[in-house]
Amino acid sequence: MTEVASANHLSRISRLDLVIGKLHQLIPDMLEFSFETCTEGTLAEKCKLVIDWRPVIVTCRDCNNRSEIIDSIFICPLCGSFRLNTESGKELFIKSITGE
Amino acid sequence: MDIVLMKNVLDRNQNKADENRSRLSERGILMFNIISSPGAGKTTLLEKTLAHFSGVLKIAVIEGDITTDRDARRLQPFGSKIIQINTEGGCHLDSHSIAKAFEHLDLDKLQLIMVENVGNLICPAEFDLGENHKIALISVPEGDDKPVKYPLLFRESSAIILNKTDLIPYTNFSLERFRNYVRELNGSIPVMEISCTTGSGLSVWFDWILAQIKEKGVPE
Repeated sequence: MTEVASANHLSRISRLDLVIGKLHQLIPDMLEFSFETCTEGTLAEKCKLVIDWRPVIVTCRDCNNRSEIIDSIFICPLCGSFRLNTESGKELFIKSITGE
Repeated sequence: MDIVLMKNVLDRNQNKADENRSRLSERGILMFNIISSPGAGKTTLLEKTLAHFSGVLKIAVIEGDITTDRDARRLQPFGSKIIQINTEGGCHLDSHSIAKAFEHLDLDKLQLIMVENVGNLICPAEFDLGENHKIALISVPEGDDKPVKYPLLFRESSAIILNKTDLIPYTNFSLERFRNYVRELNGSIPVMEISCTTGSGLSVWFDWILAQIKEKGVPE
């Protein structure tokens, strides 16, 4: 974040947008607490952290049904197949940084 | 000012992991990343595996521990090259530490590298090392619900090993529940039920290794 800020001549970062898939074992409260601690005394102090949590979405390789996985049961609700492609849920990226 | 980045948080790790994978692939070397809780039996499984394949397969081990070289010393007697990485508090190995370990290995003389990750079911599942297969090892005393409590590891792995099956009669571990949890999470994954103490099921693991080597076309 600070590298991007200096490359873009920002003196302050006011907002960070993250995209995180729910397959990652990240706990929102702990992430926010760590973020707050890490950014203290930096350009990003008191920066707003906005997280777009992406659901776990799979497509069945047998019947092509697209469904959301809840409670870690990776079975196609339509045909019962285990052969699923994970379409979403593994994202972990910085979408954007807002500053001035 | 809005700066759109779309930058993967773990891309430095991912880029090096991809580099590691292609270095190994060029030489036809297979790499396993063995992940478990502390005390599940990773080092004991490696002892059994190195002893079994001694003189048959050219194997090296990369040992990840927070501190000490106790595990590496346990594996010394079997004639394989053992590289110890101490993470000094870090709870997982990353692709850069593996690339450094490669500098101490003669990659032209190997068929298989087995990485023993730091004992932890969470972070090691997040960091690609450049392996061909993640292997999830769990043991009976940890309980039959481990797969549902750590879904990412069991989704990302190519095989699951259940160790210490000789202890099942003395615990409330239910094999049926365990198999159901695994089925719900990853229905097509092979599950090997073993006991390093009695030797039960180990031949299934050894055959699985040979099958992976054959499938990859690693010269024997």
